[in-house]
This record gives sequence, structure tokens and C-alpha cells, in this order.
Amino acid sequence: MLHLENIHKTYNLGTPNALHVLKGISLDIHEGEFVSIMGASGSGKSTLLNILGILDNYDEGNYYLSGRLIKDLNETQGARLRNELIGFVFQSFNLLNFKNALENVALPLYYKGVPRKQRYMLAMEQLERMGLKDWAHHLPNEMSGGQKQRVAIARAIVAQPKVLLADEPTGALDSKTTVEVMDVFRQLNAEGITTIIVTHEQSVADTTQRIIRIKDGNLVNS
Amino acid sequence: MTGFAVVWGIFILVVLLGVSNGLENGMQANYGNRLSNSVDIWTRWTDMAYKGLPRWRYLRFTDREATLVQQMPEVEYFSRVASNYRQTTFRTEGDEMEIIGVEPDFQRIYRKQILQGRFLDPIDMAEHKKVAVVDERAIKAFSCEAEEIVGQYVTVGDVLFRVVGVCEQGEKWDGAIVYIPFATHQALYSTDKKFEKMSMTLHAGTHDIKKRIFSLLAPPMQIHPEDTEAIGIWSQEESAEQNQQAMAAIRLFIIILGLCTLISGGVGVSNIMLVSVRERTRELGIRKALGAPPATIMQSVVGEALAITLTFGVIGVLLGMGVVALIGQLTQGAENQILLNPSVNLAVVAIATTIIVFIGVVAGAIPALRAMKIKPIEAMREK
Repeated sequence: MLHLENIHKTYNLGTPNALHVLKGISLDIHEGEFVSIMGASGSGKSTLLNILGILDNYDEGNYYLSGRLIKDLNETQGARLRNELIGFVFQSFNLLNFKNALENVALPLYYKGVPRKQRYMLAMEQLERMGLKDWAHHLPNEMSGGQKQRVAIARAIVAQPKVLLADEPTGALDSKTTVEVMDVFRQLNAEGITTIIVTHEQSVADTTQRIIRIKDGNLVNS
Repeated sequence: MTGFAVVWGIFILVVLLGVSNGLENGMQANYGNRLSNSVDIWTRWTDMAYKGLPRWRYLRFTDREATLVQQMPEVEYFSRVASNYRQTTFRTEGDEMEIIGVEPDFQRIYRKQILQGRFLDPIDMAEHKKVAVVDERAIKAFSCEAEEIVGQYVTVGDVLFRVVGVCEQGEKWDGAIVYIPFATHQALYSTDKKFEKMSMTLHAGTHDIKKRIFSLLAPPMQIHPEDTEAIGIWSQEESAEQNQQAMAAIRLFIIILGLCTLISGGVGVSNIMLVSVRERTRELGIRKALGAPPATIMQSVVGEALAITLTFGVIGVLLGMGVVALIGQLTQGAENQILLNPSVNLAVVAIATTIIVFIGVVAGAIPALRAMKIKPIEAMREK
């Protein structure tokens, strides 16, 4: 599903403050896997996630996603592939505060070109699945952290992506809701979606099938 | 606040255009319908002693000057003009009216419309006939219809005149007028055969006639060569030219003012768009992460700018047109109208609105381009 060959990434390339963040990462993640990426801050794990999510480009190597080489894409192509293949969940939820839960969840479908009625129907299905049917017409700031993250997860999966990428999805949650949210991820993974979670919490990583550790821009064999 | 800048810009522009339009209409109305090549000459007081003559003398024309002017090659139609006031009545109704003695060509110079009957002709002139052409205002004072007065007699002072025609009224500052043959006027009212005014039209292509007329008339009338104010000379062409220059200056001024207000409106819009994109950085980042193509982001930002400028632009246009209409109402019926029918050219308004919308789009496009370059990850980190 995801295939990385010798990926290099350097920030400020060609300047005195050049920062070599990823130093030749090679990695395979198979379809249906439930993987966590761990590393200290500054280890390069966020950069790796951005590259996996086509939010950032890389300088060297090859990255194949679902059999497609992801390289030298322009913004529009990148946006389309993100929309089709990837669902994002962020630490700070990143919901649009002026839109209610239902509208937030329906947003990726809008960019996919799904008609309005169908959009809201599909979004409602996902909210129901997350147990948030009654909250569909509430604004994000009327909800708890756990609820917001479940809305964000609903939004991430509504367009039926191949890969679910989560950046510290439990970072802003207490331990009880962390367990709940991880249950949601496990359930989604059980339904067949490839799930990658970036975290620095060992307890979170332990709930996944495989842990990939990254240190100073290199993978550590575990 | 930004909306206000746009409303204000368009509003000022519309009002300025309307007022300048009214100013132009007012000026045009003051011309009357005289031919653009017509000239009036009238006598004044001298202001310089000359050849032993005292400084202040009241001048009057004689037939010698009339012949000199009439024989100028530039002159097309010519008429001596003499005027005084007499009580004039038809049956029992009447008023004090201006009795103007003119030659037959006077009608061509002033383009007087004949509403009934005819104007004075050369036979009237040659035979000193006691015939008259009365104008619309005189008809009103007589409380009769134009049709019934032709062929009837009116009493001018204590002399009976047969009415041969009715013509349109004079300028708006004129009163009721009775035109009679110049020769008759002279015979009745000026035994010294002197008069104070001559009117004429010039052949096309004649310019700068004032100096020539003065130097022609100064020697026989014994006027000091530098005492140019002793003879009044008014040329329609020159005054029209001056008016046109004045209007052009006013119009230019208004266009510059309008552009300034438009630009200030545009700056206001671009400002708000910059702020708006800044505020929306996070939102736009999220949208991009979820797969919004850059074009959509661009559309959304430019669309917002467009909506702002269009909405407030239309408000400005409506407000401006309202105020222009109000000015029109208020100035209507004033004695000497400076403004007449102030109105706005819709095409100009459309152009102005287009310009401000264009500025709005450009103003939106610059921050939109910046918004497109936002990296979703960095944008989302912003709180």
C-alpha cells in the first residue's frame, strides 16, 4: 500500500542552516495494517507523516502510494490525491469552528464533487457510526475534546480513503477518551482501512500491530 | 467599514457626475437657441478722454456705424436693434411690454420660431408700417389665443399696430416683447436716429471678431484706441468656447476626484481582503488538507472580494442616484437655474462599478495567491 525507497528531506536546502531531517527512509506498510510511528520531537516523524500525507514533498527517493508514484506533483494533483486516498486526523482536531459537525464531516465530499443531498446523507451515516447523531447540528466549540476528535475521524473516513493518517490524535485528550478514540481506530482498521498513527505515547503505540521507531532521521529496527 | 469605503467611493462619484451633468445642462439652457456664430454689439460709456473730448461720454450708434459693420465681409445676417417700453393692450387686457425695433433678418439671427402668421418683412420696413409681431408672453398678458390676435390691432402707447404674427418667447429673463419694424421704431421713438444695439451672425469660420469690430468702430465714434470697454461686444462662439473650457476643467476635476475615491475604495477592499485571508489561514489550510484544489481557494477569496465590492458598490450607486434626484428636486423652480435636470449616465455608473469590482478582484487576488501557497501543515499550526 505504501512503499518508501530511500527518502531524503532537507529543509533550507543550499543555505547555511540546511537541516537534513530524513536521511534515507525505506519503509513498507501493507494494506490493512495498523501501524504507529514513534519518535522524540525533532526526530523527523512529523516530516515523515507530511510526506506520507502528500502535504510536503521530498528531495530524494521514491514514494509509492496505492501503486502510484507520488513525486513532483503540483498543488492541484496533490489536493486531488489527498482527497481520494488519505484521511487526516490531527492533534488539534482542526474542525471549522463556524460550521456544525455535519457540515465539517461533509467537507471532503464537497471537494470530491458529491451532490449536496448525498453529501449530508453520507456525513450523517459517519456521525451515527461515531455515536454523534444527536450532535450533528452543534458547532465544534459546543462539544468535548473526545467528541470533536470523533467528528474529525468521521470527516477523515467519510470519503472512504485508502489510508488514515493520524498525527498525535490523542495528544489533547485525557486517558479515558484516549482509550475510546483508540478503540474507534482499531474498529476502523478491523473494517479494512490502513491506519497510521504518529504518537509519542507508548501506551497508544502498544495498541497497534506494528511500531515504527524513528530517531534522527533514520528508522530504528525494533 | 470596508463596505463603507466602497459605498463612499461610488456614492461620491455618482453625485459628482450628476451635479456636473446638471451644471452642463444649466449652462446649455442659458445659451438659449442662438446660433453659435452670432454676435451682439452695444454702446457703453467711454472711460478715456480723446481728441479734446471729455472722459465720460455716453455712446450711441448711428446708421454710419451700422453700415460699416453690415459691410464687413464676415457678416451674414444683420439687424439694428432699438428698444423701449410701452403700455401695450389688446382689447382690454395688457401690460407694460418691451417694444423692440428690429430688421427682418433679426428672426434668422435669433432663430425665432413663428407660431402664427409671419415675421416682419422688408416691405414693412421700407414703408414704415405699423405692424407688430408679439411673443408668447405678450399673448399671455393679453389673455387671448395666438390664432385670434393675428390681423387684429393692439395699442402700443397711444399708437395702433396691426399684429401680423406670433413668435416664441424670449430668454427666460425677458418679459413680454412686441417686435416692430426698426424704421417704424425709429420714426416713432428716436427722432435723432440713434440706437444702442446691433445683432448679427457671421459666416462660418470667422474667429476673433471682437478686435476687428472695435478697430472698425473706434475712429468714427471717436473712441480712444485703448478704451476697448466703450463698446460691448458679445460673441456666442467665444463665450461658448469659454464655457466649454470651464466645463472641460470641471469634468476633468470630477474625473480625478472620482478616480481618487475609487482608488481609496479599492485600497479599503484590498486591506480587508488581506486581513480576511490572514484570519482564514487556518481554515484555508484545513480545506487544503482535506483536498480543496488551489483554484477553489482562489475562487473563495476572490469571490468574497467580489461580493463585498458588488454589494456595497450597488448600495453606493443607489444612494448616489437618490441624492442626485433629491438635488434635482430641490433646485427645480429656482429663479436662475444653475443646475438643470442633474442626472447620471448609467453607462458611466456601470463603468465605475466595473472598475471598483475589478479593483476588488485584484485586491482579492493578491492575498488569494498568498493563500494558495499556504502549506496546510503550517497553516493549521497557527492558532
